[in-house]
Amino acid sequence: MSIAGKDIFDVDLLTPEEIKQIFEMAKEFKEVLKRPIKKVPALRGKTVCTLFFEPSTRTRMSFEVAAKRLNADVVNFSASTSSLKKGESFKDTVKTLDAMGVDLYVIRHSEPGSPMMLKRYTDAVVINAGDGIRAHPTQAILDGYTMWERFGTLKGLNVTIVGDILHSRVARSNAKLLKMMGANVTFCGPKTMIPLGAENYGVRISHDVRKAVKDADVVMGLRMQLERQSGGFFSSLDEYNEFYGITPEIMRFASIGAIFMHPGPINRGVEVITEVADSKISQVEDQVTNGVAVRMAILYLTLGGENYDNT
Amino acid sequence: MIIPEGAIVFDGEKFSEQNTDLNALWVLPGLIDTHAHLRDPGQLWREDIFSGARSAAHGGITTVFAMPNTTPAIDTEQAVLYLTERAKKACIDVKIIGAITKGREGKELAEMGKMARAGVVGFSDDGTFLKDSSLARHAMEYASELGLPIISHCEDPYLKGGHMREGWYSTLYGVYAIPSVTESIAVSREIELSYLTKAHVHIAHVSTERSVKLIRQAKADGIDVTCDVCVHHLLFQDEDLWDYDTSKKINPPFPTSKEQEELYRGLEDDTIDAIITDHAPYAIHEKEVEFQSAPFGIIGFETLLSELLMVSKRGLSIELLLSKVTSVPAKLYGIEGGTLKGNNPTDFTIFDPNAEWIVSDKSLISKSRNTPFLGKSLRGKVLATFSNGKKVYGDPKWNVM
Repeated sequence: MSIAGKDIFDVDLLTPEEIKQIFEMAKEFKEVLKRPIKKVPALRGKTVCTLFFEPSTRTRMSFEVAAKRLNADVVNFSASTSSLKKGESFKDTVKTLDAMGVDLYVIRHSEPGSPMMLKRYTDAVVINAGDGIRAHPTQAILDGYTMWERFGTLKGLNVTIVGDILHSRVARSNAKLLKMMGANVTFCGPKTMIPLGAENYGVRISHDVRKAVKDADVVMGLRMQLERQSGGFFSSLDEYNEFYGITPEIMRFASIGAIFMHPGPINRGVEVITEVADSKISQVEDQVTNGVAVRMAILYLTLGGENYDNT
Repeated sequence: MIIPEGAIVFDGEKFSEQNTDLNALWVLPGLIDTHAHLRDPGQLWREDIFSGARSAAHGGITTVFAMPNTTPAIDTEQAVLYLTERAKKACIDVKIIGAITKGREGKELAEMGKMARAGVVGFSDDGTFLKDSSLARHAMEYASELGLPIISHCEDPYLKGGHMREGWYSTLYGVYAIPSVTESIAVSREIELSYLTKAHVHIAHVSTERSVKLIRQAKADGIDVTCDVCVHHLLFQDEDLWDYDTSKKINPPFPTSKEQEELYRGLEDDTIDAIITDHAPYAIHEKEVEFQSAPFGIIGFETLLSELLMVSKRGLSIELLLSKVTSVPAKLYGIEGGTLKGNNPTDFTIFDPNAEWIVSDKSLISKSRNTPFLGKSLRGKVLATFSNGKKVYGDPKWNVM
């Protein structure tokens, strides 16, 4: 079992064993992050290129920190400062970068399927850091890791994801990963924001947040984009908050010991209120820390690392 | 007309009765494709009337209707005359569809009468739906007075904007999607306006279950509505977009498997009259982009007969399918051809249903390469095509009459 050389287009291309392997590895790297010198020479001499065609701060920084902790060289390419503005095609951009010698790409793009398209022009490992509304595998793995760390297993866990499922790559990848690992998943949101056929993920669909959250071990909020209002997906942020916002009162329907998660950035007062977001049950900051550890594990394992010597 | 030894003849409706060995060479009427984009004038890096005609000849097609979404649009008598003049030098018959509105902008009627005088065979703003129902009504009234059909591209202007058919696969693939009713809502309006105006409305490239059902009912009610289906929609489904191959991106988008079944039923009971290619060439660099950024369209001339063979394998009679690219469109538009009955037909094709060929840069004649069959081996090869008595495609061994 090895994911060396494997591209991470989405979580369903990994086996449950491989995901477990990433979890175990991330746990070790999390220890490294607690040290005074948070750096290991695991990827010395390797070049990681972050290729961001869509603005992102946190995901990009998370990958950059992860790569630097492993001693890889990191180069950043972002569309806003790049030749794309001059009309260069995706293909030419990638071919140019590839000629410089890159071992691994981290790609974020508004277009679904773009990581697979990138792979047509390179032999380097490709990690999908979000392609449109399709997939965000590393986010799902870090979310899964956060639950695994907390509950010891994902099997039988009740996870409720609330919000704009339609436009959410996080919800899509999470549903796949969580089902694969044996969790029970509920999607909750207004009908306008539940994509057609979503039940085929094997998830329960609900439009009533109280019922959806009942007995949940994990309640996950999703960012509600204001621009969806003009598309008629919802009528106002206030109404959305009143019907779907996560409040302490809603969390009372969940299991004892339930946690709140959110991929960020949070809209306080919209999908969640501060009393929950800043409470003890909120895992938002842990998710960020775990994100670095999980991405270290993914970079390390896909670039050929097997048994990391942690001494 | 050349009839190779042992060949069987399809006269436009059925094969010659004396020989039913379908493995023999077939002699077919030159095929008629009533919906193609020749990109002439103004988009010649994709195709032109001559390369398009040669490409069609390679597919056994001897009559093509050129859609007017060119640059500029074919929306005046002069433009029609210009294209007609060029078409005389093309190797097959190219007939011209005029735009309904000036610049295909949906605002003012184009000079339909003058274009009719110059010889157009129908009117269409293909690629866009005429939003303004009042204008659409008047266009139908004008066209019916001129004895010509309106060919309608049905797409609700507010529901459109996606890149594949909405359903489980669009959810799974994360692609912004087009609900199937985007088409049938527009189809309904066209049916109702045809009911009002008594005009002949031809619905182009139907792709949904509801569209077929609405048209079936309209026909039963005696409304003068006809339609066609694009051959690719009979072979590909939404699920096939798993690889984000932009050469499979088309508008209307590929149907779900359930909706595709209704297309087959529609062909079988003649709700769907004709089959088209919607040949839509794009240069390599235009298609070699991200999926949602890519333009819609697939080339189709050169693979048409091979595709029809594949469709027939899924349960439709090959005679029915062949009639829908020969005699049926000829009757539908009142044009010559599409048959081998009568004295000395001059448009015909010699076809080997068993020979295989590879769709490649070398074998394709079109200027463009945007076909999902690129690199694939297909069964069924056109050996020679004759148009107006002249060989326009084929090996030198096939003699001129």
